[in-house]
Amino acid sequence: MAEPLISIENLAVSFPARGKAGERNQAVRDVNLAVYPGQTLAVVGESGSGKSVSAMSILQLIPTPPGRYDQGRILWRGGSGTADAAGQHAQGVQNDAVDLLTLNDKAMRTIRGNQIAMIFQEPMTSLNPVYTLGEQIMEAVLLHRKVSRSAARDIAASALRDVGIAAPEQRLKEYPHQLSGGMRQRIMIAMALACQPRLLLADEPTTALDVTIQAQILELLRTLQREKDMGILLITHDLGVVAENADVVAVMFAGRVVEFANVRELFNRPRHPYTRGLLRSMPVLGRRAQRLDTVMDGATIPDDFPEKFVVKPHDPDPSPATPYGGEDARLHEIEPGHWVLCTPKNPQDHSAPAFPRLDYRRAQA
Amino acid sequence: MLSYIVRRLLLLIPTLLGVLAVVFFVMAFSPGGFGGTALTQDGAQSQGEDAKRARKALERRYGLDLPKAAQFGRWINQVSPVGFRMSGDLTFTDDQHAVVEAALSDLEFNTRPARLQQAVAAARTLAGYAGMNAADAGARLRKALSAPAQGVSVLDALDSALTGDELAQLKTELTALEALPTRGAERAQLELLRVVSFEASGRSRIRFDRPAFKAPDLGQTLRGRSVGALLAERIPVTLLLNLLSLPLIYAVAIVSGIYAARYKGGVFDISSGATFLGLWSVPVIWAGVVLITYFANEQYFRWFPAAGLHDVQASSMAFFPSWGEANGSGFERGWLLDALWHLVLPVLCMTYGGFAVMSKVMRGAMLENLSADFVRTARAKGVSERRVLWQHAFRNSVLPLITMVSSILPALFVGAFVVETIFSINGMGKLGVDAAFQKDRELVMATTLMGGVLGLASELIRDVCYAIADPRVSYD
Amino acid sequence: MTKAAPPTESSAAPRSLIGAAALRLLGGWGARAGLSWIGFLVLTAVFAPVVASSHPWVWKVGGQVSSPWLRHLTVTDAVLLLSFGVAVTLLCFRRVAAGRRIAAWAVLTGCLTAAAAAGSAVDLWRERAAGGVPMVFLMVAVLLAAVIGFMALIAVSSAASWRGKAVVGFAGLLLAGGLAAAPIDPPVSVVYSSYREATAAGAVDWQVLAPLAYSPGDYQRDAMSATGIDARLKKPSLAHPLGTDESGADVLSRMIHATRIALAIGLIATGIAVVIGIVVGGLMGYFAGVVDLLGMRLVEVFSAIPVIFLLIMIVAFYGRNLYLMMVILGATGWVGYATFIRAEFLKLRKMDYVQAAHACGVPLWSILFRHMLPNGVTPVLVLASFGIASAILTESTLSFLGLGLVEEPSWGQLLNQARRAGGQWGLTLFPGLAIFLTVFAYNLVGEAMRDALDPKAAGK
Repeated sequence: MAEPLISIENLAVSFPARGKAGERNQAVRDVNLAVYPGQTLAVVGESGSGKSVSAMSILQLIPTPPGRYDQGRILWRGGSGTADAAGQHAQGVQNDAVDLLTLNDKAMRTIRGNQIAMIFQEPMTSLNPVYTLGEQIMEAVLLHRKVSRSAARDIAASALRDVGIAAPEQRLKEYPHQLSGGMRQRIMIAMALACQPRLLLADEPTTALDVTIQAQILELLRTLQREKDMGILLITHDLGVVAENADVVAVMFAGRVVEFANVRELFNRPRHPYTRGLLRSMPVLGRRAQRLDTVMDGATIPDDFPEKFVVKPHDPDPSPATPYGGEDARLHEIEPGHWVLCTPKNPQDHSAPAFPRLDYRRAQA
Repeated sequence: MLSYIVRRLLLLIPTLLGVLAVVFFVMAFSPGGFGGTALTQDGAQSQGEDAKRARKALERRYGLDLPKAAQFGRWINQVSPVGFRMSGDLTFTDDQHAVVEAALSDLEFNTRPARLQQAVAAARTLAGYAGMNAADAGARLRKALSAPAQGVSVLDALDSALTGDELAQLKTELTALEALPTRGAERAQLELLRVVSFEASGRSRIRFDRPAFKAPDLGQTLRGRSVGALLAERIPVTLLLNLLSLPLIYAVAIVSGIYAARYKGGVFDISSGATFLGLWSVPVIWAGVVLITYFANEQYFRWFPAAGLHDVQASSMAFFPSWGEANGSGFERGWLLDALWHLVLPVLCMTYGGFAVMSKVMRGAMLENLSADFVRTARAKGVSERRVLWQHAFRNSVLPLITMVSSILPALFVGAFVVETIFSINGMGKLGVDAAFQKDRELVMATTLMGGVLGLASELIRDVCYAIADPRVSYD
Repeated sequence: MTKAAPPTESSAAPRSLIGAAALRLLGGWGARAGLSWIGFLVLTAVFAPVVASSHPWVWKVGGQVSSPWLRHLTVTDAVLLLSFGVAVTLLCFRRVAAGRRIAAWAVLTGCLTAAAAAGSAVDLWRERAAGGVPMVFLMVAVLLAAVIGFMALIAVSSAASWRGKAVVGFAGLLLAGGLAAAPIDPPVSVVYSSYREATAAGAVDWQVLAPLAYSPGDYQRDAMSATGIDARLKKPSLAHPLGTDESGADVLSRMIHATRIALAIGLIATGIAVVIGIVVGGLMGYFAGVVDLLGMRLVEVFSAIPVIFLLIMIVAFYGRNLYLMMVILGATGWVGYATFIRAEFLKLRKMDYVQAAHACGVPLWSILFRHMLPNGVTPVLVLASFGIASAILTESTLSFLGLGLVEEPSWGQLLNQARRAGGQWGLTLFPGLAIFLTVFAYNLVGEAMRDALDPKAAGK
């Protein structure tokens, strides 16, 4: 079985609690995720469920302090930018995997924007208003490739062409405020892809855009992924986007992954009460309803849930300490290729839960 | 952009006129009027014939006999580079000069060249006042001088300030002189020429012929010095203080602001924040007095000079400091070091308030930008922390500092009023204060003009700089 | 003209309830420290003649007990002391709401001020020169009118019961009548040395002196002849805690009495500026268009004149007068408030509730002052706090440059003397320290108010 491009294992990140000295809020806990080359892993969840923190942790973009990586590893098998970073392999050697959390800032910078790129949900504010688009795209290229400025400009122009922007040479001289939101998000993508990263972290890339632009941007990402065999970690709370784009889906709630399966399996047979609630709360076009279901309304345990496992129904006031399934709940592969956060009835069963990995890609349409 | 600047410059003119009008009429309607004791009726100096003449000379020079609004118009015309010429501005070409000289030279009394030139000058101002051509003016004056007692009427053409009684008195005097046995006619002619020259002095009337380009004239001080020359002497001093202070303020503010923001909540952040908040409230007058009392005083520490910008012997010093036995004492500080040494305390006084305000602004802007989304983007691109700080966050944080220019520059100008007075530096600020004390209208107006231009120009500079620094702003 | 918003006109922060903001304000140490210092200054200003006076409080001379101190009390002293007494009395009425008590205090103090102003107006009218009405008289008359108008405003806008209003009004009349009837007629010329001479001659049986037995105008000219010691520029000693100035007056006494000028000039000048600024800015913001265009030119003119220079000039040309200084400071300082209120009103006039008020036929003044102003005015308080600080600075700068009042004590004037008298450290350090602390206090309060009104800070 092929190794994933990146695997996050038991990641836990905490922040100091506001107003309470000494206490810390657990932002994410026991997060396990894996992305394979060319695969799109969608991380779904409501605001504050830890999606963004998980993605930012990959690039060590959580400011420390106040944030803190409490435990876990983020194993990267996409290679590193320089030989310098290769020295770090001593720790956690596993098929020449690098634990990104152990890298120092300098080594991390050779990976950021180079091997792993990220695009953010706020295209309006994520570009520096005082620099031209060219300067901002070229900055990444010049940092990671040993090329001249003119070569960097060519790379930037071709990156713009890749994302479907006409007259890229002119655009390079323009400033962010001269573009619409959709265009800016294209620029963000071009900037992220200029260095041909192996993995793209897309943090709600379409949230701020209107629906037609959303579709265009996602289509663009799919095309580019196919061309470059790039892994994508797509963070979203839009289940429609997930259904359209994801190969594998991880549902997060209250800082933990509660369900992990391929997209068909997850949408057809959701097993975890939260996932079921989430799917039930989606309004369906054409169906009349007095009031829409909330997540809580739909949070039920399926009848055919494996008897070996226990999963608790909805906790109205969830905290990272008591998410679904109780304190000792772990991700268990209750069916082949379907992981759910639950507790085995018999401690002997699945005492060592496997990290969820699914080398699955949907059939291309 | 260019059209914007031009438009702004044009809009600047009415504002400037407004500023000048406010100051002018505040002076004009003051109970004592301007000019202090020199013009008051009951002052001890204004007794007697000489004082009366002096007062008249001032009236002529400043056009004080005109209505107040006309006085203002006259002043504006005088400083404006485009405007009507004053009666005294008229100059003769060589040809005209020759014509007039020829007309006057056959008069008996004009035996000496100096007298002839005085007469020609009188004819020139006569031409200026009455709007005659050179030949007519020469002939008119000649006619008057050839029969002095009858020629008194020439004074009417000069728009003389003499009353009817005074004219009559002058006429009797001249008749008496003419009747004198020895050189009576000549003495009468001389007396008339003196009165005519005096009445014509002070280039006091506007000649409403045709507006023309001319050199702006800031007028004369009460003591008769040219205001323009005085400003040319004083402005460089104040400019030096400001040009040293401004970069210093910005440098300190930027460095400390960035450092405080970078290590927010750290020792430097908190201590510099508290220090600057305190410094902000320290009155310049107190700082100046304490510095001058304790650091420029024999009783305590005489580390710095107490007054002026240069040592008495500064002019004989070499420019750069020099060492060696050659100059006896081993070390001579030289002109440059001497000037810097004199500047330490004044510049300190002018800058510390700016540090406080600006570094607070800088810190706030840096904090805001360091948590901005585009900084996160930059970090995700693999940009180093140093580069994030200086290229991304700093570049955006400069914008509020640019806006501050328009308040810092005039504040420095105002600061100069106090600092220059405390440290006895002969700059614009001290000039302004002295001008107000002496009620010297032209000096006060000149200072106002400078201050107003500086204030308005700094706003323009701010907007232009802002447009350059921030691509989002455009004025087209 | 500009596409992007000009950078200076920072948008006002949306504000929360004033009460919550006030609580947050008082929670900060900065505001507490600042307000404590200002409170201390107020006490000092009120009790200045009690604390520092050459006149013995009570003495017995030639078998007769009398109070020279009381005889030399001026109308201003009386008004301040009585007003303070009123404030203390009102503090006892704990059952009445704080706002009502503040309003009552304002009205009663207004009555006292009006009585005093009317008294001096009558005096000035009697003494008027043949040539015409003196300018001071006009100013006093304006002050009188302003005070009466202010009281009327409070009376009309207050929601208190008629009985309450009647009680306060009656008390006010009583106070004003009492003040007018009181035989307050301090001698025009005071011979301070007479007290010391009387003591030295043994004519005094006993006397109770003020804690600091020197009036600010007591130049101790007798000291030279009596003891052969020059009283001028003495360094701090037990008798003169901060030494003496170059005329021989006690520095501490002068500093204590100078608090009045410092506080008055800050409050009154800023008050004038705020009122002008609100009116001009409000009109500009509400009517926009041509009014705004013309108003902005006026704003530009006034912001282009260096205030300190204008003041120097006006004082030089019109003479030294505290009231004139206040008026000028106010008349030139309104620009900041006007631009602020204008920006605020430009925003508010588009608001639905203003449109709704229009649609209901609410009269214009009501829209402007009852609907729009309360929503735009709170941040002006922040500006005003900084404005007071800068007015105090300006006054002391003027006095420092020798353009302040001649006889009246002022911190800046003392500092000016310090420039010439290097050795007297009591003179060098303390007047400046007083200016610094006062300006610092107002700045602290301003900062704290800004933070309290800032919604971003409120969340933390």
